[in-house]
Amino acid sequence: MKDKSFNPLAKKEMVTKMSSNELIEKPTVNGSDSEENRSFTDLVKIQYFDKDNSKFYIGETGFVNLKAFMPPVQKDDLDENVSEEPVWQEIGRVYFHRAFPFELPEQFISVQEREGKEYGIIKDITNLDDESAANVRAALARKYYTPTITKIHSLKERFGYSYWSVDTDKGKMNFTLQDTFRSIAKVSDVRLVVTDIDGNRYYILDAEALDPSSYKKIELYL
Amino acid sequence: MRMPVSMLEICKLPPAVRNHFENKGADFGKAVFTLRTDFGRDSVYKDVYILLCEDILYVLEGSQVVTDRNGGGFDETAFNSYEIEKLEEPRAELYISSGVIVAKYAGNEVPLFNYSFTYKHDANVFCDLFNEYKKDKKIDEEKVKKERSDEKICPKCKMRYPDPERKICPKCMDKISLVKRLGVFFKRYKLYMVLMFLTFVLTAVMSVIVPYVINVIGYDEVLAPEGKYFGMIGMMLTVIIVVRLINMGVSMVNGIISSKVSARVVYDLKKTIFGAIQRLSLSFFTNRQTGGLMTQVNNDATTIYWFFCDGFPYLVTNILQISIILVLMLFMDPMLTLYTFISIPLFIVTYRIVFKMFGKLWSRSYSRHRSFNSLISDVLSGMRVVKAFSREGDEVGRFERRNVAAADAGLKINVTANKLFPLIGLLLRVGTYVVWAVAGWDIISGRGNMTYGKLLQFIAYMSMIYGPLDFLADVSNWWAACLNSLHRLFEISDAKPEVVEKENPVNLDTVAGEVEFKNVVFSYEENRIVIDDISFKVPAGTTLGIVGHTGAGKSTLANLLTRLYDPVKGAITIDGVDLKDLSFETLRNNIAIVSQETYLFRGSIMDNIRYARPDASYEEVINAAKIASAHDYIVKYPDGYNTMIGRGFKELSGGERQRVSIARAVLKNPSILILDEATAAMDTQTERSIQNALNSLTRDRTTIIIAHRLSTLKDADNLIVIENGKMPESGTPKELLMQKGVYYKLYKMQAEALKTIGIEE
Repeated sequence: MKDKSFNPLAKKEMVTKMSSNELIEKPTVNGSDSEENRSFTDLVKIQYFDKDNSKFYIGETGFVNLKAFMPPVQKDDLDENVSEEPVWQEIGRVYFHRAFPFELPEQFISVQEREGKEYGIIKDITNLDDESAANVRAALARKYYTPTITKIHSLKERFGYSYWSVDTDKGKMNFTLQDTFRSIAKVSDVRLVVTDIDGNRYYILDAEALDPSSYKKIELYL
Repeated sequence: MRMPVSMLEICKLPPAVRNHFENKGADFGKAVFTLRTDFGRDSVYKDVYILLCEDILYVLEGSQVVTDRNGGGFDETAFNSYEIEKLEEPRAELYISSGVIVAKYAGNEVPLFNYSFTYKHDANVFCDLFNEYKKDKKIDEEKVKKERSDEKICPKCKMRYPDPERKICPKCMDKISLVKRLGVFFKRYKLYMVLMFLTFVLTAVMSVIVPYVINVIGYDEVLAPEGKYFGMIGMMLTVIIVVRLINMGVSMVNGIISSKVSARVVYDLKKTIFGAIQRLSLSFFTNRQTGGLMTQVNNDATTIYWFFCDGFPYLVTNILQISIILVLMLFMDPMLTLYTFISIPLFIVTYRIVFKMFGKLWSRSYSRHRSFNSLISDVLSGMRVVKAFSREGDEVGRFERRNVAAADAGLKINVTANKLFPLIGLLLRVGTYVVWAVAGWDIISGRGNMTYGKLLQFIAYMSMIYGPLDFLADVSNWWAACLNSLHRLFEISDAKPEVVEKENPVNLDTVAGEVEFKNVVFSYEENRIVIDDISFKVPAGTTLGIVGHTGAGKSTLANLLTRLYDPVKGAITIDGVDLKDLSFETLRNNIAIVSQETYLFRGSIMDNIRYARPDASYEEVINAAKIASAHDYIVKYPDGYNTMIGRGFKELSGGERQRVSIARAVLKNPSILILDEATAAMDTQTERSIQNALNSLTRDRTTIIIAHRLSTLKDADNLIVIENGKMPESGTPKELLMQKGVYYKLYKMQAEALKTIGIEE
């Protein structure tokens, strides 16, 4: 094809190659430092949480709450802006979501209210104080709880369903997949997410690093 | 069991757990229901038992080891009890593959218990039961009968049924029952089947006779000087030719019959399946990937067709042939027969191994080709984006990699095939060489009663056995594929539609168009409530506007009113009749919807507009198109209303498509018209002109308009605001503005937006 028409400059800075197969656009962590381009990263103000402006603590009933130094939180975005001046305030219970659960499990953690409005982002958990970091990590671990398959004992296909018997880091498990091909998602060259018939998810971190007999069993579906 | 009658066991408690609860002070005399999940609050898989006793809720977490259902010990790891009095509003919070039931306890939110997605339905049942109990202090047993988790488990392998409604465990299902079900389809062609079987027998017998005539009679009686028919070559040839001709005739008849029967059976099958698909509710399609559902059905039907048209007749004739030949051979010389089969066991074992290997090679090649093809179609349809971001080079690289992978897989198959198949063939024929050697030696040394003709006959029979054996080794895989296809087809035809017409539905001759939603609750997916307790009334002939953010649940209301789904709780009525009691005919004849995603069928614009009422006159079609502001642009096309649209033909723009679908709805002349963002893809001017036309149409007609552009709703009699599945505001536009709530803010925002560009509403 027309190799001449493609512009190496654009390619260099837009994309980092994540895998040989798929190309994932990776956000530049320090987006504002490219001099040659006008930056867009300061056009939207994102509230980042770190140890100076936030404290994630366990509330009375065991959920993680947030106390933060930030502009007053408004009930909904239709309200007129009261003030942009940051103040220390009790936000209450917050919910955590990983933006890049596979590549950056500890970075870019979205902190939201129950209905899904974002309070801010934790750029890196290590930027928080130790106690907050531990609480966030625990909440994330609970939310993203997913057994990782370490060995496949048997995989039998019967009438379009496949029956798995596996070892995971959480113990031995049996489960069923409906439509095996579509239930195994390849999220990178080697990493797989298996979703069973009930919607439970299982990871295979590196398909090729599995023992040969396990790999053989899933090879067909890759 | 000793359980009190009133206790509902969604899951039966093992005796050890029951004792444990009793030790903790639970009074089983007051027990209301029991439930089980599989996940502890410390994120460990374990037994968790829930027991509600009149005014206390107990949550007992067990050890990591799953308790034996029939007994065994029970180790407690956590125990909590809650007073029902202070506990309210349990709801499910979803994580990635687990969830937690959270409730308000004395005003604070507390986690009650966790569950993995395997128990997501049970968790939902808990919330329902709890709410019901809290409200009425009792639970309607009938309603929860089907929720018993013990009945959703295959009694044989203890795995859950993939589809709890269907109660068929693919793991334990025997193949016989499948074949029996298919048998029903064949039953209709009984006579043909008998004929077919007769021809099978004839074919088998004929093919056995030929070698006998040629070899034994030919060599030993006709050609040998001492033979009975010495010299009568003409007669022998005639016999052979006649036998061959009969054989040919019989196989022709056989072929015709079997293709006829299989074609008809497959036709019947497809008809049944397609009927089932049409009958199924929308939720079936959202649960499964519909893309390719019909292709799958088609492929499966074809697999079955070829098996029964091609494979099955061969199978029967081959088995018959082998048995006849075997008997003959044993009769002729038992020892030689044994030699014939000397290498067969080894052959079958090798064949199976090789076949498995090839199965893998084939599917690898298949999946690589698939990914290669998907890349091509992906890039071709996204060419605009590829070029816009100048990524051609990378795409070529990606193409190259997948191309190489696909080619490699293909090459490997061919290389392996060329290496292995001659070897296997050799293995199969080892027996022949042994027989030649032994029998040849016998003839030469004059031992036994072996003759030259007999030997040749034997050899001929042997070669007739190897062919079918080859086939038999192969056919089991074919058979397995056929059964898989069958199962998939039956799965579709067995699926129960969730929305069903009542047995004696109410038919309304005239529908005034009064619509009422009464405390409607709905969720597409378990535990994710989309519509939360919404009630409103649309008096006949008025216009209701529904406002709300994207994803607030507005379109879901339309889906519920057209009964694509049934509400989980509450009721929807038209003219006071519950939708569930109304006949589909009344419903479909009186409601028309124009939705965001317009679907136009491949065909002419005329056909598409007339889809709603195939008997509409030209004048009516033009009128409808005129109201929808579609007429003017349609007549500009060289082919006018006969312009073909759809894939491969003229592609209409978003706005044009919407206008065609509005015309379609108008033509239906419904009592209730739903416009779901029907004008969203049009510019303001076109929208205005359609609205003006629609105004006269909607004047005395119940109309429900869903929009986020408030100007679309300016003529609505009443408005409701939907936010996160709830309905915080309702009233006339004026009332809502006075309330200064969500609508007021939205109104102000849009008005301000217009003001900034110098337009005021």
